[in-house]
Amino acid sequence: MFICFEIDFKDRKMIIKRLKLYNWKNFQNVDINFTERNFIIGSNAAGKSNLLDALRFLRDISKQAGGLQAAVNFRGGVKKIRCLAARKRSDVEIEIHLGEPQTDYPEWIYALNFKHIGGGITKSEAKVVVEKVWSNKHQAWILKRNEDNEEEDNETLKYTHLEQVTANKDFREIQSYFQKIEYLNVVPQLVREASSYNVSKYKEDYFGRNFLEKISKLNERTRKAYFKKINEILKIAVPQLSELQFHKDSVGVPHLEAKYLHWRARGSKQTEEQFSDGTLRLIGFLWALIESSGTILLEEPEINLHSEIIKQFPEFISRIQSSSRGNKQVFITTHSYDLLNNEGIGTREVFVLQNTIEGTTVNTIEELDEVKAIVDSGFSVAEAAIPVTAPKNINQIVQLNLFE
Amino acid sequence: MDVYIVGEDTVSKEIIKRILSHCSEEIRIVSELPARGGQVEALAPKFNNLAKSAPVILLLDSDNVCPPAKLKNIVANFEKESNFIINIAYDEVESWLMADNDNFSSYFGIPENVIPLPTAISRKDENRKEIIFPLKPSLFMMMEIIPKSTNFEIRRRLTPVKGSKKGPEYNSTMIPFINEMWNIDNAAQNSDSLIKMIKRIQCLL
Repeated sequence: MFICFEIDFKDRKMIIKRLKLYNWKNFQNVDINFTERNFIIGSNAAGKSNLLDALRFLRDISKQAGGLQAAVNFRGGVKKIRCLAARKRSDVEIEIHLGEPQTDYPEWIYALNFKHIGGGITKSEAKVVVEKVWSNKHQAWILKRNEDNEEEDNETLKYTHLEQVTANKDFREIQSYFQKIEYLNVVPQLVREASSYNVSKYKEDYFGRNFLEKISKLNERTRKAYFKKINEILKIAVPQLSELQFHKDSVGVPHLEAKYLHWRARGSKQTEEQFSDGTLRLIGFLWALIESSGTILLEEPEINLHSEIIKQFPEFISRIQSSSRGNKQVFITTHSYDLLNNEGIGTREVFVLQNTIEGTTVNTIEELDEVKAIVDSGFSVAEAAIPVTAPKNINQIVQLNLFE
Repeated sequence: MDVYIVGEDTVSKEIIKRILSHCSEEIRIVSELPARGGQVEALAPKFNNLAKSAPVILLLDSDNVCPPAKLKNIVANFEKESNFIINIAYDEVESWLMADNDNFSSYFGIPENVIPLPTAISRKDENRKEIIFPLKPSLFMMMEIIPKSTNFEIRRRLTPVKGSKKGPEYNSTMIPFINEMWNIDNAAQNSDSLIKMIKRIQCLL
């Protein structure tokens, strides 16, 4: 007797297994193998955010009302994206491999190469040079676009097939995968500022007010279930706050509200305007980790938070990943010793960005022999890797004669 | 040659770096490993493991414990790798800096006779000398020597405020001295423990 299993894509765990960048911002040429939990470290201006931005870029192409031109324009044009360390080639290339975490082959490969055209009196635009899709199911490249193909012209090459629903029907899974990439960098000042939602050009990201807007879009039952989980965590991390909930005021503006406990038996109510920076950021992270069903990009979660809370993050993320059925691959940029000083973090989970004259390199600790030797001797990844990312002559900063 | 270095604080690490570059220009520091005073003994087995891949150069203060006893404590529970180079400054690394009496006095603007003269520490060999300070050397420096400086800025930077252990700009004031003025050969004449460290590094090359 045969039992057939239909694999439902929704239940299948798929992660970004590999990312190749050519000429992308700081990165002239890198090839990175990712895992389910990824810690990205490097000195200031090494390119941590730019690495995450490559993933956001794919999201921007794939999102509704997105597309290649919009994604490029948002970043100031191809010239702003291109690597400054680039040599002859002026095109930009991103290749991404999606697949199940445990396998060593990709389910999908999506590759996009584009360049700048126009300028002067013609409009500056991005032009697709190559766009390719590999499907493991077909064991073949199911899309192979090239600017030299006869059926292509300057107009068709303005658009990727990824962004077009008619053209991407054989690989729509990739598009919906990219759409679920979420970038999280809650800026408390913006969350408090009720008008920030209107001025934010990035509605997808959890920068500020749009975070509250996102919460308001969920149906009430789901929202309540999520808030219940968040409240359980807050009870421990911020004991003086309780009963965090969501409500809309009389003119429909969304707010967070919680009870602040003090000597009066019932405490008093506070809204997000009175929450501390740390509380707002913590709520933001928890929300993203609980709510998201896709890739989560966390920018320096240590900011504003107590070191003891930060120490819990690596295990907390692992716990959430294992208990959810979705993808929940997490990328974290960090400078935090406390965050990385967890013995459960593996040498393949930490990505060290280092500046060279040929652009930034990206290596796991596993690939850096000198750092790996330190970990192998019994030190944590924080002890081994953070000194490597420190600027060589940082001590000199206090010796500058700035004030004399 | 690639090496790892371990120092208890910023000043110790700068001293290691300066001594390494004094001994050879071929030495490259791969990484600086963290270790606070009290942690060194606990971390020693890990440093020893690491020494299997490249030399690990450790510099500690003896802090009132006689150096051989201190060394014995550190390597009590393992077989020391030959590349694990343990150096113990008598009685603190600051003694090594003050051992270059001339440069130290002129740089910090203090009279030359304030720093104690070295005394022989071995009956068998009179050339083995160390400066014996009546207090912890760094404390003696901040409480007795620096207040005699003619330079107000130096006094302000290095004199501890109430409740602190060091002056408010201790590291950033000591480091330029270490890098630009400190004459290791002069200092070595007055410090046997410094000579030993230099010899150990030279043996590595």
